[in-house]
Amino acid sequence: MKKIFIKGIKGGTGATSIVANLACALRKSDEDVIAIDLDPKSDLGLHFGLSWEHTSGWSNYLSFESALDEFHIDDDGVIFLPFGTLSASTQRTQKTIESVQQLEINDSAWLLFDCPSHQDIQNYNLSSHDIVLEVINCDAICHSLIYRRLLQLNQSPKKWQHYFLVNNYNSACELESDLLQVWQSETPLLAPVHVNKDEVVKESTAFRNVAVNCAPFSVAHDDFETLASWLVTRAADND
Amino acid sequence: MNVFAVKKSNILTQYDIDNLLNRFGGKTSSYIEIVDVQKNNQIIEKYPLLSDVSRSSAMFDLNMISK
Repeated sequence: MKKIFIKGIKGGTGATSIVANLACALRKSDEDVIAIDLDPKSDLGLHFGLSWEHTSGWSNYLSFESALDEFHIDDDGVIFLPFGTLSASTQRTQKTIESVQQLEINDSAWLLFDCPSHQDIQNYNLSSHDIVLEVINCDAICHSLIYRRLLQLNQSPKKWQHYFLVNNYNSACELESDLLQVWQSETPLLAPVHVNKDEVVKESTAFRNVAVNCAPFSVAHDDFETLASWLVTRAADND
Repeated sequence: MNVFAVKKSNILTQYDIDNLLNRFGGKTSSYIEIVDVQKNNQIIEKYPLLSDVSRSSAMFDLNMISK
């Protein structure tokens, strides 16, 4: 199975939207996709049409085995597991990651983890085949955080494949255009694809869906398809 | 008197690319990356926070971090 860990480098970068849209883009290519919400704000299910009243998830159960009923499947066939309403320690989160991998699922399935921005990915016990996408926006704070992360990775070598993924890019903004130009040519680990700012991402959430489904001719749709294709290539390199 | 052919187009031809690959590429790399270092430096200098980060991180070889 292919494991992708998606987290914002800070809050509000749009990591959950990326998980939901990426899941649907992969599912459209007939891939088996399981999306796991590891973020206490527990809003991944809303992108997949889960009822607002449904608040429980894996954190509400004492063990992962007893939380199996919390797996849901959306209209496209994406299987997802909400976080729930209780808090979970990093240790409990790591245990959930391990338990998901022990499920009887297709070897070629994709496991997408929506990780909270406040948790350190180094605590997750990742392997060299795991891909971490750290979602960034084109702003000065993200620039600062990228270089802090690079210094951190430089000091303690990572086992996993780490990439910075630009989300919500607005090419009409001079600062964003300048930052992307510098990052693309000078910043290590920048993913070669980025997701442009597109209102359909927000609008589709309001319609309890994802842009990949709602707006097949949108820029966002193309961006998520490109992102999915790039990840398929990266995962194939692992095999 | 030497007459030089002046190329006015900004588009790289296959010949240009082959020449650049021969000059800068290696046997193991199938692509070359063209970076406008001067423009990047101008951008970094334009924003105080970027300049600050650039100066502070210059002492570390961040390109050592492989993919």
